[in-house]
Amino acid sequence: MRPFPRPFRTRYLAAAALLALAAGTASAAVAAVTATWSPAQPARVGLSSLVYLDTQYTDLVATFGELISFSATGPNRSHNNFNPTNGRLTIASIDVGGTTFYDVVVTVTDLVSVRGSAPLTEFVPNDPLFTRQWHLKNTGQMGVDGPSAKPGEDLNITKAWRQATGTGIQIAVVDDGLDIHHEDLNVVPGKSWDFRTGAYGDPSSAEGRHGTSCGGLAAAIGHNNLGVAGVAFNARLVGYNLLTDSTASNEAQAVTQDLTDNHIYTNSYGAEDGVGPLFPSDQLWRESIELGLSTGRGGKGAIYTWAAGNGAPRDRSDYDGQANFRGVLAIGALNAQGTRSEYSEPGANLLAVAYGGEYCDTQATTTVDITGSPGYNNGRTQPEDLAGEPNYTRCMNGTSAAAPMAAGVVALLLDVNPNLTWRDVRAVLASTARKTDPAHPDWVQNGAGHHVNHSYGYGALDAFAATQAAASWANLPPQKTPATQGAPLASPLAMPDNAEAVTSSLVLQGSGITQLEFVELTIVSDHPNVGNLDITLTSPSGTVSTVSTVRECEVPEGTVDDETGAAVEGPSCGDGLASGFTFGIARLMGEPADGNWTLAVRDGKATESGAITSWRITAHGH
Amino acid sequence: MTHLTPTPMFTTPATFKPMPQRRPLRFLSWGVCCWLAASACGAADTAPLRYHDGGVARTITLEPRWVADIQWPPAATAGQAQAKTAAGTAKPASSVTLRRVGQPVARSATVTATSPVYREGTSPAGRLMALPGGVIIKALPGWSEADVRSWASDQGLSIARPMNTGGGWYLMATAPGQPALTLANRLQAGGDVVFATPNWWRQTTTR
Repeated sequence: MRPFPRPFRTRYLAAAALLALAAGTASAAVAAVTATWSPAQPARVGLSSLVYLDTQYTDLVATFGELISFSATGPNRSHNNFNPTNGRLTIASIDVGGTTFYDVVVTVTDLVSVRGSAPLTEFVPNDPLFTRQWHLKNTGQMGVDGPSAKPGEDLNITKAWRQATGTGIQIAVVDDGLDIHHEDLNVVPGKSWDFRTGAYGDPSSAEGRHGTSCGGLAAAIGHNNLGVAGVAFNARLVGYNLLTDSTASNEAQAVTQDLTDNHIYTNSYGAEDGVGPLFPSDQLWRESIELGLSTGRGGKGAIYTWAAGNGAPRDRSDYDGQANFRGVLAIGALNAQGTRSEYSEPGANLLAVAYGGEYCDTQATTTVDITGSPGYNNGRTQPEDLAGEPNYTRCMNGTSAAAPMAAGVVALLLDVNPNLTWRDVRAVLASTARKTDPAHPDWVQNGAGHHVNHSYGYGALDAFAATQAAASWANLPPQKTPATQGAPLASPLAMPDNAEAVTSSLVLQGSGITQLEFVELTIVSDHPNVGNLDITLTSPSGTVSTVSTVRECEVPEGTVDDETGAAVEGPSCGDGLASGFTFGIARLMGEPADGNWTLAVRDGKATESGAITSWRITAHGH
Repeated sequence: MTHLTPTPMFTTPATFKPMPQRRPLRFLSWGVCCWLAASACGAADTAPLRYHDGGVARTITLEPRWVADIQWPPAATAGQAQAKTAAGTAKPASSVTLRRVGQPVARSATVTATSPVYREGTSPAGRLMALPGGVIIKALPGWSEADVRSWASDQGLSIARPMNTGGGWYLMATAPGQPALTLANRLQAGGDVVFATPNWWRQTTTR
């Protein structure tokens, strides 16, 4: 058994020691967690089950001191939780004098007895299509045309479900719609938003299959003998069909709609992928996200998961002003072999990766589909999809699939520990991500010792490791005031055409930020073609972050005015730095901010040239 | 089970085969592909134009061969009562369909206006954008909604809705098309507001 983590407070030693020494048999049920209290022994509480680290304890009796808080409404969490860093026990629900209270937080003073304990076991939901959901439990499932999946390349979630299932967490699926009547989705009645009418309503339609499948990946109802399981299978959903009317005002509304109720917004959309220019985000949208971060979840911050983009190899997530914004968690995609999905965009902004699979003829993901014939699968005529299962599909793929999986993992974290701020969630995910595809040459250790990779961020999301960490997570200190420093350019930094890189440095001092969380890099340049430029930023700790590579841009298929409608390759990527563009860098977490920062820019193509007129960094951290 | 009529923003043909994809799910761009018929290519007037976002001038390029049809009420909700804000103001919802100039408007579409189509930035690969109506403003610090309404009235404008974002952000009602861009640039230059920017519709794809 793993020891209790430090720092450790003496008065909890008795409880921890008894937990550690107890032996016996744990309950196999994922639900049926009960707590009891009797006025005959008012300082005691009994728990049917408590998961701590990798052990499940049964029939505990503990004494408690202070009642910290409780809720009259619920349920808001799946399981009881003990946090040794503050000695607090959170009881999911308890009956007192005929009234049920939820999220009852008490300080534990001693552990009286424990009937049994056992290593945490996997929870296998009884949903009939669960065995196809390799992203949840990869047993080497075969693809339609092969190859078989690689066992173990999954979210490592089955034991995490012993700790959390997303109970009490509300996820907004911002997309093209949501089948709010789907048999396997728990949708909050009357709280989905229809941008076609500008009112609460039914956002589903035959065009809403993408959002429906995303919603299923995040939170399809689990263990109900029906269909599939979502990552957070007891979470609830709302749907906002932004893509039916993707205006700037609606984009802002979608990420702030019902901020008091939504814990997480999952976003699997964006500017066209695979074309190469820079796409800045709007001021209004950024302020909307900032509002969510500052006021969502009672001030702890809403969580925004964002699909990194499907445009590799031409595109990078760095070029997307939404996916690279500091307030969102950019999520890339892995296939069933645990390597980067061929379409998944790399980027210095990537936090982590989840599973998007490749394509339907090999391994995509299995999730819900619009009820009946509309949607991806009509159950009859798609030979690679699920026959006789028109409400489900095994063909959902993309970073679109990865982002809602991340939302589901976040829901588990918030179930286990609702006190996590949005910054804590980001830190938990980064610190517990798994170094997937370890032979990939881009893996480096940043200055704080974290493994990072432009294709994988901090690695593959690990739901079990993340929930374990969340259960006893000590929140990060408050953020320091962001520190901005511009480069002291006496004159524009000319970039010789098709030549070696030029460099410019700045020194950031006195920021007080000893541990970075995110860095924004803003560059202004008159270069007429940003596609000619390799751009890297080297941190004071020596970590190199690439934010732009030399590329050919492409006019997307269907938007050109020629006889074929086919894509056109090779046009200029435009002067996307002319008004300034801000890149986001997530891979420096934990490094100190102060010191020498170096920008290197290389014009790697002939015929066009320009200069950097200014650049600056803004460091966020604590 | 209730399914509404498919959104008219992009129309998929009867021959559309949704699965399996060879690319990740990007059906809106697919929709554009299907919607925009092939035709001969000619020279384009690609003179860059400007708008402002957050006070920063941004370049756009006119795509003269395309037009955006603005539909209100959307086909899916035709016949339903127009949504109202809490203040009772009609909300200018819209749905945008891109169409090659010269092509007929889709038979089922309820087109009430059109907008020029632009590309974001100076790249031919830039994102397609249109003006469905509305100008987003950030009011001066300290202005109440009543102040904004009074100012708007003086300008011959009206508030479509305050934005959820707070912070003095409002969507002002305007006609679709070029007038919205002109107005936004005029307001930004005039200094009566902190920021003014068109309520752009942008080509947005699933991932």
